[in-house]
Amino acid sequence: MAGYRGVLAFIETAEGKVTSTGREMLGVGRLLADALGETLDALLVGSDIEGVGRDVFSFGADRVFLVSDSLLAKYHPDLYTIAVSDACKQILPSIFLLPQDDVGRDIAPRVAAKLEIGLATDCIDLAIDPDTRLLLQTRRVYGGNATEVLVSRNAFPQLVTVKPRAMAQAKTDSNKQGEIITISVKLDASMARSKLLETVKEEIKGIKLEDAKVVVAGGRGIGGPEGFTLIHELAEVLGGAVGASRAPCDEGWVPTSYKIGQTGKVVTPDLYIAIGISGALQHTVGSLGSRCIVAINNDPEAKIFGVSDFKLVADYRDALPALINKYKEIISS
Amino acid sequence: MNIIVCIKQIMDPEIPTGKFKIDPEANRVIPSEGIPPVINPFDAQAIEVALRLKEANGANVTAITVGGQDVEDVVRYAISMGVDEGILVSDEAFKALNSFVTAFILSRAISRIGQYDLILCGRQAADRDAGHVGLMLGEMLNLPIITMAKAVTLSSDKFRVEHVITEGYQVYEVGMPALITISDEIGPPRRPSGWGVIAAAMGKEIPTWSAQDIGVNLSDVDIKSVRSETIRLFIPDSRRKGEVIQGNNVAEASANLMARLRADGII
Amino acid sequence: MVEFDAIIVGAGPAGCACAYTLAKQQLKVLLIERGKFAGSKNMWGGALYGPVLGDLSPEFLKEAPIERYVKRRILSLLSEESYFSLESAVNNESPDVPQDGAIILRAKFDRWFAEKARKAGAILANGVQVEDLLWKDGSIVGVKVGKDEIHGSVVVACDGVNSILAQKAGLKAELNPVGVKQGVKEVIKLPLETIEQRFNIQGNEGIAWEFLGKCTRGLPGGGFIYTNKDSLSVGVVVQLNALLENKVKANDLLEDFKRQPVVARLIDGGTLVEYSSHLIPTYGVSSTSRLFSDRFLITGDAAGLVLGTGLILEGANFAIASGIAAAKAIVRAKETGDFSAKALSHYQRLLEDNFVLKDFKTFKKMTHVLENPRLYSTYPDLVCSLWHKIHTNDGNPRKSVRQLLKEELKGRVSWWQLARDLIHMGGSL
Ligand SMILES: Cc1cc2nc3c(=O)[nH]c(=O)nc-3n(C[C@H](O)[C@H](O)[C@H](O)COP(=O)(O)OP(=O)(O)OC[C@H]3O[C@@H](n4cnc5c(N)ncnc54)[C@H](O)[C@@H]3O)c2cc1C
Ligand SMILES: Cc1cc2nc3c(=O)[nH]c(=O)nc-3n(C[C@H](O)[C@H](O)[C@H](O)COP(=O)(O)OP(=O)(O)OC[C@H]3O[C@@H](n4cnc5c(N)ncnc54)[C@H](O)[C@@H]3O)c2cc1C
Ligand SMILES: Nc1ncnc2c1ncn2[C@@H]1O[C@H](COP(=O)(O)O)[C@@H](O)[C@H]1O
Repeated sequence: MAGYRGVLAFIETAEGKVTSTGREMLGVGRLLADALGETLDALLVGSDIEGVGRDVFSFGADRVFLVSDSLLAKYHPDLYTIAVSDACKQILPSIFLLPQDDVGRDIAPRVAAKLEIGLATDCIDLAIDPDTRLLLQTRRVYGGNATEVLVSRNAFPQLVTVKPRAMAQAKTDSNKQGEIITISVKLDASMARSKLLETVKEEIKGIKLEDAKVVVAGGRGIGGPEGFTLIHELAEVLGGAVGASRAPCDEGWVPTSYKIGQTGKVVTPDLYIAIGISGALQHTVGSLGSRCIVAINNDPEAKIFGVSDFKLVADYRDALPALINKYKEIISS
Repeated sequence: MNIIVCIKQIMDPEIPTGKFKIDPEANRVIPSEGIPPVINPFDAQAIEVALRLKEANGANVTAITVGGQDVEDVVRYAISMGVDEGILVSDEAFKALNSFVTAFILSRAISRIGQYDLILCGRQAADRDAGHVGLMLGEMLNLPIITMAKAVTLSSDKFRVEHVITEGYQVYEVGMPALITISDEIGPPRRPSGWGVIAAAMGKEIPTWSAQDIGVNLSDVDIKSVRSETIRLFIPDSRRKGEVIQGNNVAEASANLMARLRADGII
Repeated sequence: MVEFDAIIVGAGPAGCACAYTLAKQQLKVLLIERGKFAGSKNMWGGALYGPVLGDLSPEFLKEAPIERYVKRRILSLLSEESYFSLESAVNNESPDVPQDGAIILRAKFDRWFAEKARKAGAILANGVQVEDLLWKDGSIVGVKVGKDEIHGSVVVACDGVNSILAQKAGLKAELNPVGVKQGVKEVIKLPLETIEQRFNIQGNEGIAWEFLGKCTRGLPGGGFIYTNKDSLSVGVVVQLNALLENKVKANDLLEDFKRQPVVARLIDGGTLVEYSSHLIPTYGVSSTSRLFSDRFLITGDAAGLVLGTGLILEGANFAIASGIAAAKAIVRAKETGDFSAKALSHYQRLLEDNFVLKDFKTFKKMTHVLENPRLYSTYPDLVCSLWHKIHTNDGNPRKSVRQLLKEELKGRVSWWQLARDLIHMGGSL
């Protein structure tokens, strides 16, 4: 549509650096921008973020738009919604990408409503249709039973959120330069209609689930919190992290932050070991991207075996000690 | 306190994979015979939150849904769980709506209800898993919104909301009226009691509002519905080769598995 | 407090028929079903025989979700090597008379039927399990659901073979494996064209096919195949005590049955869409059975109203008929305000006057005949083998049929036993 040009990616930073999700956004953003022959721009929102511009360029952005305001130092849904939609109105991109994370999930639908445009959340693939030059937006629906491809024909920008870990990260090019453009958005404290009282971070033992190379996940078949000691032990010797299906989280055997799947975390380790998990799609969509999936279940008919590379039909209480011993043996020899 | 809960009837998300069928020509799902539709599980959890607030503070809870004539059951289900009123916003044209239009229709219907202190939605509808409508609705009604709540309590006319984030949760305080979306961390919702089901089945007619009743011009709706269009729907293949690990006993098979992972360079 | 005229527990054929009839008479009826929807937990062979559905409303014969009509009935005797079949067909061009049997899938049929009752004014409560009767001063005043108490002038137990209500009311003892059969079945999906081809049927024609012999490993019972529109119902029905005594699982018999070459060919390439298992009360009702007490009635399977003679398995028609009879008795009781056992005894008289209890008397002897174990192993083998030999030309001079039969009987049954069995069978018809 006339007037809307380029690909704009909402980029988050942590400690002055682009986050890994940010790099994924710039990775796919670059491909889309190149396919269109238009620019890839980054939108940064926060306070004192001028310095981050350079880092963003090194991941391929052509221009960086900054919305900087002390009110934006910390995320607030109302203020961020206004900042992002106002910036978008000024930039007029053809495609606008946000991550499907705590922030993107929270504001993208509000931005869509403000701009009266369509929205596809949690996209696992994005491409440009060479004929229409429209964005093909691929996402999972029906708990992972089906995949749909959407287009937005007559409402711009084409707004999507990107599933974490679904896209390749941008390559670095430390020589890349670009233009930093400051955007001003009128904000005042009264626009924030809710108050953040506190942030409670659940304590994580060891490696973060999302970053782990090995994930050992337990399900209802583990039977109780005691069983998870064995799961933790295996994770520890393998240098991995512990995850869970929803059942153990609902039961209170493990913190909810362990949950993997449609409404939980997405993990893409080299090795995913699913133990005592039946293999409901809502769970397995969270680990599809793993390099190797091992399933351990005492039911030879368990569905999980259909989406695994190696199947071990066994009671976990017998299998896990043997796995741990064998690994120790391998390492010591 | 008046609480409105937005609920949607969906195809059972726990349908066995083998029974999930699509019509690739029409880009739509073929409802499976013998598997009745259910309330969106996150919406049942939203009702749970409303009922807990009602039990703690007193409230009138209204459940509202937008859809074709065939979604009355979901309103009855809400009543059997314990909500006080149900409203069906129904028009043949409302059968297959996108998020934006659904939110728009809900905003009109809720304006007709008038008086409310809290609107609750599910985090997403477990059919298309979008997670749009609640936020769009809140925006259209110009309300403060807190998403992904795992606990909601009320004290001195303010809601205290635990909002789930990747690394834990955040506590927000928000005044009335507000819109809150509920996440599954809230825990399993109550099941309707026997008497609840019977009372809901016996209950009065459920008021049904048409497009005209809420001042929605259907041609408006049509224009808005083309914002996003599904051009392809297919069943992905996520099977893997699934090699069985052998052994004379579990210990041996487990050792073989570990050796194999090592040999393949996975660990 | 809400008080219903009648609380009907179980939305199977009996409960739906009863609720529909009562609601049509403007009574305040509650129909309670534990399944997510009526039919969701129910299964059968099966076909509905007779015109009884039409008694409720002539429209029902047209409207009901019927898969196909029985055009041909086949009985096959299976032996190790071969099988022997008897076939009968309805001669009219396109059968649509339910008398011949309407092949039905319960999940669709019961749901449709319950909806009819609801539309007629009954309150339908799905997903609610009745746990007990509600008593006051020694008399039944309703039912209990969890903590909730629901009051009614009369409770009708339509809760099927395992009727806990009939037991709680003291009208029935716990189910005895003698006189009960277990049915297991699979629904196997196949393209409509494939079914029409394999069974040589078209349009709404269908097949009811029964098997005796090898498929039950000699246990009293048989296998069946019914053609639905685009699926087959394939199952076995076996005497429960025989299963228990021989430590055989019905499911294994079903697997055996599916492996029989005739059967395997018919279901080849199909996909399993449903598996279910259900008991069938075939102990038979006698004139001494009491199907009512104060403010309480039992119908259908709960009352044991099933004809299960092996060759005949009918229950749904009796269930519907008994549901209607119960409703009639209740309507009468309501008029006088008297729901005592005496008033409700009208129900049993109605059953005795119509085909329900008459049929049971007629077929009573048959049940004994069918308990004969030779029927399930020896005779099928014998018949197949004999038939085969009569038709085999191996170059040697042929023996007489009498001679062949003598050879076949040797070591299996004595002439005397055969004669006795034949007389017995003849006598029971
Ligand atoms: C809308 C929606 C969203 C959902 N989102 C998620 C989500 O994000 N993540 C998620 O995980 N789930 C989610 N679910 C739930 C999901 O559908 C399943 O119910 C859940 O994943 C089941 O967990 P499970 O496999 O651990 O338990 P079960 O299905 O109960 O399976 C337990 C398994 O353990 C095996 N087992 C038992 N004992 C042993 C033993 N001793 N040794 C070995 N194996 C044993 C059993 O054979 C069985 O296969 C969602 C559901 C819905 C409807
Ligand atoms: C394998 C097999 C093949 C058969 N083939 C044939 C055939 O070809 N022709 C034929 O006529 N008959 C056949 N029958 C018999 C026939 O299915 C039954 O006789 C008939 O269904 C009886 O109807 P009913 O309404 O009495 O009981 P059911 O159909 O058993 O219905 C009982 C209902 O009560 C509900 N219920 C039970 N307990 C409770 C409770 N506590 N609270 C609430 N609800 C409850 C159940 O969920 C169910 O819906 C067959 C049966 C089997 C198992
Ligand atoms: N048709 C509808 N009627 C009422 N509420 C709805 C409808 N569709 C969605 N919602 C609400 O919006 C939430 C998010 O839905 P969605 O954006 O479709 O994922 C649901 O959990 C419901 O609370």
